[in-house]
Amino acid sequence: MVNLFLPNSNELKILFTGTVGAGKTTAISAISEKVTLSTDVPMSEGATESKSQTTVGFDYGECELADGFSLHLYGTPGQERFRFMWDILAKGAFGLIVLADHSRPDPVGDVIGYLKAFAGHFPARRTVVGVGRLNERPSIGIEHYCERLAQAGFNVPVLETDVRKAEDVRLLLSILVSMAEVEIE
Amino acid sequence: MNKTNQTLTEVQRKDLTAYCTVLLNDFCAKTAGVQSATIATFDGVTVASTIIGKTEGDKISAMSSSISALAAALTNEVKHPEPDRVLLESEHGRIIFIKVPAASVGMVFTAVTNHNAVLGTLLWNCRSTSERLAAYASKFLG
Repeated sequence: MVNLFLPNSNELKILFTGTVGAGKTTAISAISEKVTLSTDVPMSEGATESKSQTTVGFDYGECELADGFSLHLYGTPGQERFRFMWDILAKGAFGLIVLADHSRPDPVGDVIGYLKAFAGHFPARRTVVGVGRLNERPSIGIEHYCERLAQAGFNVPVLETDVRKAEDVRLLLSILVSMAEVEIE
Repeated sequence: MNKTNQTLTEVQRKDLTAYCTVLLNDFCAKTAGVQSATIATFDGVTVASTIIGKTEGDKISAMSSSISALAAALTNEVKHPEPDRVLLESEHGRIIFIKVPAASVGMVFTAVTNHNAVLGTLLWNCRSTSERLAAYASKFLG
C-alpha cells in the first residue's frame, strides 16, 4: 500500500475521533471550505433532540491553513463497533484530534480509550485533544485532563474547544501542523 | 438513508427480532449457497443474524451499515439516487447488501454466499425477503 501523502508534502491527512456526540462531524463542517461528505444515518437508540444522527462510514472535508498547508480532514464513527473503520481511516494520516464531550460521566477515560486505540497509528507528538462543553462541569478543568492523560502515559496538548467555531477547530489543526513543521525541519 | 428515526418499545423490538429470525431461516432454506444472513439497523445494530457468535454477527452488522452509507454517499456525489443494493464479488463468493425498502425502521439485509448461489435466485430471494420485512416493520411505525 503506497502512502500518497509524502512526508515533505504540504498536504496532510488529519483524523478526528471521539465519542458519539463529541462533535466530529460538526468540527469538520465548521472548518471545511467546500461541501463536506457525510455518512450520517438516524440513530436506532440513544437519540436525543439535539443528536439524532450518527456517522457510520466517515466524514470528509478540506481546508487550508495560512502557512500553506492543505488539510484533508476525516472523521471516524464514534462507536466501538465501527473500530474496523478507525484502522482503515488512520492509514496514511499524519495526525489525530481526539474530541471529548465533557458532559459525559468519564470524558478523560473516553479520551484515554481512543488514544490507546490509535496508539499504533499515531505517536503522542502527533495528537491533540479538544474538550467541548467544559462549562457543563466547571469544577473539573483542562488541568485534570492533562494530569490524568500524563498518568496514562499520554503527554499531549489539551485545549478547550467549541467545535461549532471554525477558529477553535483551526487552532487544533494549527497545533498539529506546527508539529509537522518541526518534524520536516 | 435520511429516514426519521423513531424508537421501538422493548416488546416491538423482540417481536421484530423474532420475525426477522424466521425470515432469515426461510431465506437460507430456500436459497442455495448462503453462508450467513444478517439484518441490521441503518446505524449498524444487529436485529437478527444466522451467525452463531454475537461478536462476529455484530461486526457484519456494523460493516453492512458502513458499506451501505458509503455507497449512498458515492451515488449522491455523482447525482445518482441512493442504491437499493450493493453487490461484492470475490473468488469465494458474493456478499449482497439490500436496503430494506419503505420501512420506517431503517434496516440493511446482508447475505453472504459461496459459489453455489445462483445470482438470479439470490437477488430474487433477497428482494422478496426485504419486501416482506418492510411490510412487517411498517406495522410498528407506519
